[in-house]
Amino acid sequence: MAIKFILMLSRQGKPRLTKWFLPLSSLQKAKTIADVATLVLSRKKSECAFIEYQDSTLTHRRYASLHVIAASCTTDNHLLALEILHRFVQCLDMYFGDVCELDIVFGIREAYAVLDELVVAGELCESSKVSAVKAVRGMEKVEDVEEGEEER
Amino acid sequence: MFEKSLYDLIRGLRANKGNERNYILESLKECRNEAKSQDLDIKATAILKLIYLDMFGHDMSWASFHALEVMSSPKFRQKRVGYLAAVQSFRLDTDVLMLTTNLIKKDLYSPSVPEMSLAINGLSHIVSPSLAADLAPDLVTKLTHSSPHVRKKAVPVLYKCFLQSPELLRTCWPRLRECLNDEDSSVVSATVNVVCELARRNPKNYLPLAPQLFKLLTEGGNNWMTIKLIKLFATLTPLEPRLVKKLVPPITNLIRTTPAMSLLYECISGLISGGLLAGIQDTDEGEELASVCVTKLRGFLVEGDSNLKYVGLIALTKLVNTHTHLVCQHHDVVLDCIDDNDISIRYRALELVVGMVNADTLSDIVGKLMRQLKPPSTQEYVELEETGADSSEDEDDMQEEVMHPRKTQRGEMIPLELPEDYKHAIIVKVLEMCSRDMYANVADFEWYLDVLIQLVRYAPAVQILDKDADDGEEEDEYEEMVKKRDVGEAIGRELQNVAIRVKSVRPEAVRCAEMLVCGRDGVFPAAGGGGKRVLGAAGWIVGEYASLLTDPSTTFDSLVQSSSSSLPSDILARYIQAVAKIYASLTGSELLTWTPERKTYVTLLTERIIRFLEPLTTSPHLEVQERAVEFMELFRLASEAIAAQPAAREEAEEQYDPPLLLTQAIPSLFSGQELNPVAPRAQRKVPLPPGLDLDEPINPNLHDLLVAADYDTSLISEDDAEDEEFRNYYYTKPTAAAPVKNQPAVLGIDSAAAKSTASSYQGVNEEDYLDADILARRRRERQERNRDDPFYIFTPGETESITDADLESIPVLELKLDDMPDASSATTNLNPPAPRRRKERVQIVADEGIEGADGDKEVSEEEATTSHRRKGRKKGLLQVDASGLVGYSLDEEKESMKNDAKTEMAKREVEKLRREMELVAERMEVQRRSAEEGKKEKKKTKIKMPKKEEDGTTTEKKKKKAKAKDGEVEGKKKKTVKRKKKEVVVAEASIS
Repeated sequence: MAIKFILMLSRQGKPRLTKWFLPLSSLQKAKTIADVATLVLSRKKSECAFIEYQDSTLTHRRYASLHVIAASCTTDNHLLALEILHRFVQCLDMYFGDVCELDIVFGIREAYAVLDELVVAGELCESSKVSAVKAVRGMEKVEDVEEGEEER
Repeated sequence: MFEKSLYDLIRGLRANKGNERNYILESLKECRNEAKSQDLDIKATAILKLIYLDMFGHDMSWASFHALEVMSSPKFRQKRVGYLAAVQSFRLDTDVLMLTTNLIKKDLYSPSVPEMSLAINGLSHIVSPSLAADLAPDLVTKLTHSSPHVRKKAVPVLYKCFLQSPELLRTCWPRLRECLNDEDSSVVSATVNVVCELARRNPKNYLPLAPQLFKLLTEGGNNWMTIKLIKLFATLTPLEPRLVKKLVPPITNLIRTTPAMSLLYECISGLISGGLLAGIQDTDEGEELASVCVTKLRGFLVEGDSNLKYVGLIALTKLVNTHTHLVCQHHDVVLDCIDDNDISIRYRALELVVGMVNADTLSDIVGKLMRQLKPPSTQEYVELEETGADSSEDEDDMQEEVMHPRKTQRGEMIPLELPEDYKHAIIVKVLEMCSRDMYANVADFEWYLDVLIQLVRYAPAVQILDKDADDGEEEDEYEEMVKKRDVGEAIGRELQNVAIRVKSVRPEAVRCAEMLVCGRDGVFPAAGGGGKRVLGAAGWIVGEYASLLTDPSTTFDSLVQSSSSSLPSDILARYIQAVAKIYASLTGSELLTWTPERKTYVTLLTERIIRFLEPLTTSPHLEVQERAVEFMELFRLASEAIAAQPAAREEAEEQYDPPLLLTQAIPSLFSGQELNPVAPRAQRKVPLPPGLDLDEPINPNLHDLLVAADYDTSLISEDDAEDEEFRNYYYTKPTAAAPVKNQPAVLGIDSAAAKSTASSYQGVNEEDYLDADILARRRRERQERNRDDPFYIFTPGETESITDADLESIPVLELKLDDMPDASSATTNLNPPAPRRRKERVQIVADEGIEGADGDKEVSEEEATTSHRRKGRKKGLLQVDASGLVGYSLDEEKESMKNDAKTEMAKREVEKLRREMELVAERMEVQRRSAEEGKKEKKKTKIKMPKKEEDGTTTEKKKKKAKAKDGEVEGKKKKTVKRKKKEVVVAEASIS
């Protein structure tokens, strides 16, 4: 499996988005987040994006105050993981319009939806930003129609 | 009552800084109530809030039933929340999981595409074996859905189902395969992803797809898919070598043309890991392609982008085994990476250089690595970024647009602190490089010894990984852990290896060991207490080669000093042995006359040993205790013998010989044949003598003896002093030997010198990594060596020692040019050979073994099994269990072939059971018969016993009774037979 989990951490190491493609217990998740935070936050910008963690490779990239991290197999193409992360952030940027950390904090449901369009079962499923965003908007349209019906 | 929305919750959280915990607890309580509400809207909001809090570690698994309720809501908005909750919080053991089957099935057939895709995506996260079996057929129907959006999502989810229950693969594969022909490129791409994953487990099944995949590769879809295709081919080529020829042109083309780094990297890495380069290595084309790859990888390293550097090094590490010479051409840039500021890159580079070393580059590389271990005064500096210096959350910060971050100012420079783990890795790798192939690359063993000594000084502090665990543990286990972690152990092994195997430098090796044992010159790191375990090997060396010691009595003194007792038990045991060995060499000489001075000296030595051993005879460590007791007795005898032997006075006529115990007995304990290295598996080849049972205890009453001994000691009242000592032994941790005080004043000097040279990347000077005192000694030795070398130019200082040589007396050889066979050879002869390190021909003793012919095979086999076992045992948290797919064949016929073997085995099992049954039956028969006979006999006796009148009736009765009894027994036995038969039937049923 290509990606095992995707995390977004704030500069203080607080989780902003957590997506697990493996079934972990809540304790395991908390420990993983803490481990990843200590590893990632100490990295400097000039240093490379890859860190070995257990039997996986963490790929991380910092976007302003947000750290975006993906864990993948050590044998996988590391650069590809980096590009997937970048594509995800690009999509968020397109969806929210000049996305910032606060957008993700308050729009967590939408952020998950965007990610679900891009990555399914740990594999990149949609490489086009436009169609991913369109799919999320489609969902919202269904909700809006529903609401309209209710009001009537 | 007004319920908080998620928005309110987050606002509240941010408003309650410092008091978040209470706020969260309160909110959780609210959510608990709201989740029980009848209103689905309120319930859904509560679940949404719980999802948010779950992210911060507040488990929401208790709410899984409520989440399920929301999932089944008819409203899409609520359904979405429900699915999100399931995705985030359900696990395979969540009990409501089995209730989701029908719900998901219903949603899969929903007329609305978003709802359907919600269900598909939800399934991908929570799929369990039973869900997979129930829903896979429905997913397969989605592969032909009219919307490509649904099709492409169904494909990867099917893969998740295969992971859960591999049997599904056979039934779903034909339909999945068709998706490779889908008109929508994203569906094809998703299918390629899945096939790629499947092929990693069992590539054989997917070879027939090769032509189709090749077409996809040459048609050139998007880069994402091309990367996966190349990855896929890399798993297929080892099985089908003919693919190599086909693949090389398109991949070469991609390498030359693609602007995408990730694709370029995948091409190169695919060429390497697919064995393509190795496959065509001998052809010109292969050589050319390999050099193109290596040149591209060099580009990765010099580009300046640290990510490219990292992956470039990984690719080179894979390549270095097959194309060492090509990689070595770029050893300059690789060596730059060793000094990179980024520790991740250093680790990668370290791994790579181990494969790159050869005789010419070894000393350079080792020098470069060791320079990094130098203490902080010469450390490199890195820029400090202001990362989270402001620990509070800043509203302003959080509004920073992620895609357009503000510029940050440059941080200040701070020294680069190397983690101890990395230092550890460097030392281990240095040792690995040097000792590889039985020291094939080491030309100068004196240099190697100096390196070893220097490494001891650089030894990092021993880190025990789980510190809380060792509190309750016993001292022995603590020692065991130190043993594993301390590099001193590995360095010691090398020192010992060199001392034994390389006879020509043995004296130097012994001198090094002597220095370590005596602990002068700051041989150990000033802080941290690492490297101490080197003393084990050093102790052995000074004992075994005691005759080569430069200063045996000082060494003796430092071995028997009282601080030695605080060493780890196994080292201490070796020390005891070494003390005796040195004693033997100090006192065992027959040539010296037995003068009063000598007598006093020997008496003193003996007395000191006894004083040293005395407390150790009650050591809690068996090995130490045993050796101490043995030698204690020996030296008591020796001391008696010494006292009994009168010494000869100088003026006296008669001469006394030293006691025979000293000159003959004790030395003969240790002299004899020289110890040679023995192959680790040689012992196994020694045939076991007949009649020797290794499992049989030597003394069957051992346990009783021990109990008795315990009982005895408990009776004896110990005096307080001894008691205290006893307690100290058990309850206080051993402290490392006294810290070395005079740590290098010299360091400051030579580090200043090193500063100026640190920037030069080519060629590493010895000054950069060896300490001043070691350098001084090397210089002295070099002078000694080069005294006769006419090409060696002495520095003014150095010449002093030879200026007084008589220049006239140097013989001048007349050159007879006519004798020269060839002019060209004359010119070459005139060019002096490079005066750099001449390769000394050093003899290295190899391992001894018994007919080592199949030894290697055995080793590899053993390694294979251990690695297999390791794989089986160790399972990381983040590992995906795909073992079900490994070797899972798509062909049913082949499978049935495999099954045949299984049936065969089962049949044999049945046969065995049947035979057992027969045996049981037979035994029963025999028993029955014997019982009958017994009866008859009884009958007979009984017939005789009663009076003749009663004869007829009684015997009849008895007979009947006996028969009834017999029947009972038989019935019981029949039951057991029946059970056995049942087993057979079951076994047979399982076969069919």
